[in-house]
Amino acid sequence: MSGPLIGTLCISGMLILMFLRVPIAVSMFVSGSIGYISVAGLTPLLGFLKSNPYSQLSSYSLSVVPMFLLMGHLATHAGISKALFRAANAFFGSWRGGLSIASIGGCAMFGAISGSSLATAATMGKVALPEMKRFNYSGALATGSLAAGGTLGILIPPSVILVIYAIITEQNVAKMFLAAFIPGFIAALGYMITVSIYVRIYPEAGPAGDKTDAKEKIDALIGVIPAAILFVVVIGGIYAGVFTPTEAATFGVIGTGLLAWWNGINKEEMAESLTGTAVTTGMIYMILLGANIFNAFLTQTQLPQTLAQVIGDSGYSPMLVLMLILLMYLILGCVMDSLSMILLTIPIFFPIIQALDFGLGPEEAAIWFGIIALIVVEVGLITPPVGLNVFVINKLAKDVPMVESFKGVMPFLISDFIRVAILIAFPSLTLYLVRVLY
Amino acid sequence: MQTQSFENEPMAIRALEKICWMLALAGAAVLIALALTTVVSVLGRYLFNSPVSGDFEIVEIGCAIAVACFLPYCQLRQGNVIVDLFTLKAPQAIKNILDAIGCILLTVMAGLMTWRVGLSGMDLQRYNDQTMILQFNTWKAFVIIVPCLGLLTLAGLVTAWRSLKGKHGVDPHLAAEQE
Repeated sequence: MSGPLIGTLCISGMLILMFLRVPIAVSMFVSGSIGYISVAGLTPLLGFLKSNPYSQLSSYSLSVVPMFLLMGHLATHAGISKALFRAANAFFGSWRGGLSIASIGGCAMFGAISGSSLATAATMGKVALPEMKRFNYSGALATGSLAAGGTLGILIPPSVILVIYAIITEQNVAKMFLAAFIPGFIAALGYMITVSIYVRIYPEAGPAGDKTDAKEKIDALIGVIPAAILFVVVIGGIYAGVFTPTEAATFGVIGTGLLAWWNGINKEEMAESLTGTAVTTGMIYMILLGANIFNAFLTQTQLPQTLAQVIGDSGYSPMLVLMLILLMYLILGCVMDSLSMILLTIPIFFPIIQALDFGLGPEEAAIWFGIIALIVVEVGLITPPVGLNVFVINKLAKDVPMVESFKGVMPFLISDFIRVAILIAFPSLTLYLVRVLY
Repeated sequence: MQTQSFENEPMAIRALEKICWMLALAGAAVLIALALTTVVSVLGRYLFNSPVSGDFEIVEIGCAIAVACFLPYCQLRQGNVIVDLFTLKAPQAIKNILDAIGCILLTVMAGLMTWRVGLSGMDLQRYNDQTMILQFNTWKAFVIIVPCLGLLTLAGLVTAWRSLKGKHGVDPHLAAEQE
């Protein structure tokens, strides 16, 4: 059998295992190992297994991942979300749909501290949902805006998935984070505009909230200062090249920890933050271990290189290929979690993207594709049937039926698609800050 | 804590549950210690021109230990993500069997890693492998990491047994909520 054929067979085998409820990490490991044996033999596989797990666990560039996760888990109990929502609410609350707009603003700011969408949605939801209920917001708008706002968590740096994308494609993490900034801002703005349009069509869905006076505005702003300092130190430090990402994240861990302690985190909440970090870190490293062996095998089959060459020589328009890849992400995103998708597909798609001419240099194309891929992958978090963000928010808002929540998300999906189109049409939006600052 | 629903389980499993929980907390404590060391090192570097020497090595070794400590607990909480879309409508009994198979395969993966990484640790001790700056004997980290992988193997078996009995650590959506 030829390498690419074995590669294709093992990819199919892996998908079958995955669809039969075998954990994604294990599906990759099992099919990757079998493929590795058939291409290279048992001894090389055993050699690989001897050295690879430790080098993976002890990778310095990956060590930023558990640090960011710990920071995010501590942040959920540090009283940050309350302060952020209060500040956003002081400015937008009196508008029509203002609580939804404030939640999105709060999510965007929380996303600047947490690298996870689900945590952002859940944390902000706990603060914002009771308020929205008080003002009789429709279930669809309340849950929809929070589920969509949650996706800002992963797009606005720090972002675990961007770190991992940068590692596999050998890009600079600081540049990736910088590139995500404007798209993240456009995303938040787009969602806010979506809410404004929505409440003009359905005025009863999101009535205006309380007016706030200047004193409340100032008090609320003061409450945001700790979070702002954290962001400036952590992300600003990475942008400015003062620290490595890991070093920045450690400052974030200590800062958020102190803030949580200041706000009186109790023993149970502390244990919950720590064990929560254990579960998510464990999950991510298991997927990394599985993906590693799978990708080592794929490289040996020459499948990614062959595919890239065939598509590069085929004369298809680069845009068409990009669209097909993104379409595949949309479909896969309805089924899989985003990290597994990135780890599985980037080794195959990235060489293709690099072989095509988008009128950008190889590094710029890599950064631009990474941001767009991340956004499209994250759309899966709010699409049926397994939009995890929607599930999380829906669980918090106990009296809203699931169907309502998915309906509420639809306008935001439209906003997502418009944004992706804009970012594809104008790569300079993504690349602007990178070009200016490097 | 989800442990309450497993109260009637055999003593050995309850002990394993407790050990893995404590390991998870210990791993997190290691992370916090690493964070403190790094912060001190960076401040030292900028303010006093004297970083903690070998801080990168400390992070690498510490991080490997911390993550290894997390793995068994993660599996006991069914933290390893699965795709459940295609089996949503399947009867519960079938799902339980499939879940058990998944856990067994995970056990195989963990067992293989325990064996290979254990051998690698023994090699490192034989060759007296040391880190560049601190001259730390790498095999010492393996004394913690390899037993953690062993516990992951056991955790795989326990979750397989629980799946067969229809007990789930947590629902996958809840597990993902912590992401």
